[in-house]
Amino acid sequence: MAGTIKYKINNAEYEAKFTLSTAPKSPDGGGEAASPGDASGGSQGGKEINFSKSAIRGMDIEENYLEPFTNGNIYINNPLDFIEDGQLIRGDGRDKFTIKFEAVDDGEGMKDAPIPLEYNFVISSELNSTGKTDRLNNFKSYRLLDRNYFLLSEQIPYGQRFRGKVGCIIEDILNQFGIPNMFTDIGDMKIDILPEHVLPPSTFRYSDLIRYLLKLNYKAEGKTYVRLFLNWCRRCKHYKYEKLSRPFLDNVARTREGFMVDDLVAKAGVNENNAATAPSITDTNINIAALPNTDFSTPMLVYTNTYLNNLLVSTYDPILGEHIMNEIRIAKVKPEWTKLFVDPFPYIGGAAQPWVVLNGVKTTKLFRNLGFNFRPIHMARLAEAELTTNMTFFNLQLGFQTLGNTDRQPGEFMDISVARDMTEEKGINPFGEDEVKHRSDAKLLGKWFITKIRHEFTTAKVDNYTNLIQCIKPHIGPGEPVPPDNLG
Amino acid sequence: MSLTGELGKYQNEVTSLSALSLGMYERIFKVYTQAANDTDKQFYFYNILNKIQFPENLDSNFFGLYDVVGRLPLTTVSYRIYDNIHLWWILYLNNLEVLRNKFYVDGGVQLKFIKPELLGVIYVEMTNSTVFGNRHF
Repeated sequence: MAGTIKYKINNAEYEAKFTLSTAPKSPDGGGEAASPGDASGGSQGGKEINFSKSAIRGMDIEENYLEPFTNGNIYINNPLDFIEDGQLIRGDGRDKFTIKFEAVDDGEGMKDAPIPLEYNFVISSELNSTGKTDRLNNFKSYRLLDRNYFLLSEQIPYGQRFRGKVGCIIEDILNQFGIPNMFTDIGDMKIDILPEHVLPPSTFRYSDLIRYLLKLNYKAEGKTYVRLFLNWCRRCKHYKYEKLSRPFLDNVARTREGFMVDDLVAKAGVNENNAATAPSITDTNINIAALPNTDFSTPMLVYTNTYLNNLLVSTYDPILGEHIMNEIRIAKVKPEWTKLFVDPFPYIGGAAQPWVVLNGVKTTKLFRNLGFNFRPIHMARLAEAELTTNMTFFNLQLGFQTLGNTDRQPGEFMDISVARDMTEEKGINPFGEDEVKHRSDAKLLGKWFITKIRHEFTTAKVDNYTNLIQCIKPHIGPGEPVPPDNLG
Repeated sequence: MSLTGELGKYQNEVTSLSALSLGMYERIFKVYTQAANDTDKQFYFYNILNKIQFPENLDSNFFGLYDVVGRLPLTTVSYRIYDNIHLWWILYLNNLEVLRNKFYVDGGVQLKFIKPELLGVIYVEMTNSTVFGNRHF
């Protein structure tokens, strides 16, 4: 591969390619490949700069389950303004920055080829850091915007209205711009009865419309409703649109790796709060796959009072001329939500337990008002989908930084486990009589859903690649009972 | 009225009884209750019509070997290997040919044991058959 750079990071070999090219055609398709995974597309006829190893100072790319479009930054040496000696940057979105970063040898040969970190970006802005003494020490940092987002920034023709299933509208828009996608679920929200339609304001672009429509959709699942999410999948190289419950129901198959939270272990034990897939099924070395840090938090009063409460959905029926108020009780939704987001998780010691701690005030007095302008039946369901989403994401959170791995992506799971018993007969003091029960294991251990990954790559002093990972978990392990909901 | 119902419950589901730790054999038994004669008091008992059997063709990588020094009960051997006296039954079931019906192991006998880091696989199977009713995840 021409222009490929090799890095050795933590005894693994990486290959990278950083290319700046100018597309010969307009960004609204024009026969040009739109896939962020297609590193070769869009340079035919245009000029191309392949950056050398010494030119790249670092980059960071942020992938987020809750945000369909990826963004990033790249930091480049720019002595004597060399970058634009090769090619003038147009600055109108036609300049494409392609990044491909992949592990080719982890020291023992690659058994399963991990997916590369591969994106096509558009340069949205630049910052210059100039040397104080001479022009040789100039740096440039580019703010990078997902090229798909840029493609969708075309204005919507004046007066165009959108009707039908919301999922179908989104799918049609992506197809219109040649953006690869796979819609596993379409959703139940339908805009079909007059005067219901989406008439975007003149300032709206397709990207704004997609963001608006993504908020509107829901899907019936069991006896409750869930929201749907749009994500770029690097593994399958297309956008996936699926209901939130799907990855949770399929969590065992979507678990990619495991981490241990204890330090070096002399004698292995088994903790009931470990996921059933950990550490023996998930690929984990109990002695060295340790987490260096865990930023672990429980949703507290401000969060739970804001997002985990009852809902009052007020709507208007234009045919009957009625103002309608739907009441959605969190205590009633919780058992149905549990079936989808908690019960599918097997643990070594038993079943997972839902972590939505309610009390008398939350179940009877605390309400949040929502008002929409669509049919009452849709709006009540949409509100319930919003509530199940809140119960899932405004829940236990875990953040940590670890060695980089391009194979990770949001929307998948990882096991956090420990190789010791939950209850140790003797604590730190080997002569002590009291047993030590690690109650926090119930919260910290288990199967976490990855919501955000930041890929950080620097070459400032030594070549370094790390991941900053954020996860959520809406349940606790079986080792400790959940607090009762019947407090006043 | 039965405290555990006609179909019984596993002990960890009965809140009035102490919870069993992961490695205890009693986890596979359902608990029932029986009223004593001439009294309303109910007594718990295990239904022991359930058992664990290890396959004979288990991968040898699962096992380690332990030489017993002196005549020892299986609970002590279990403690020396696993730091836990409750796992004696794992030693017993994997060494049936040597132990036959003995609870004490004579000195010089070599026992094979499932490596401590792999015990989770056994516990998962126990949990799957008791808590999840052999549900396939």
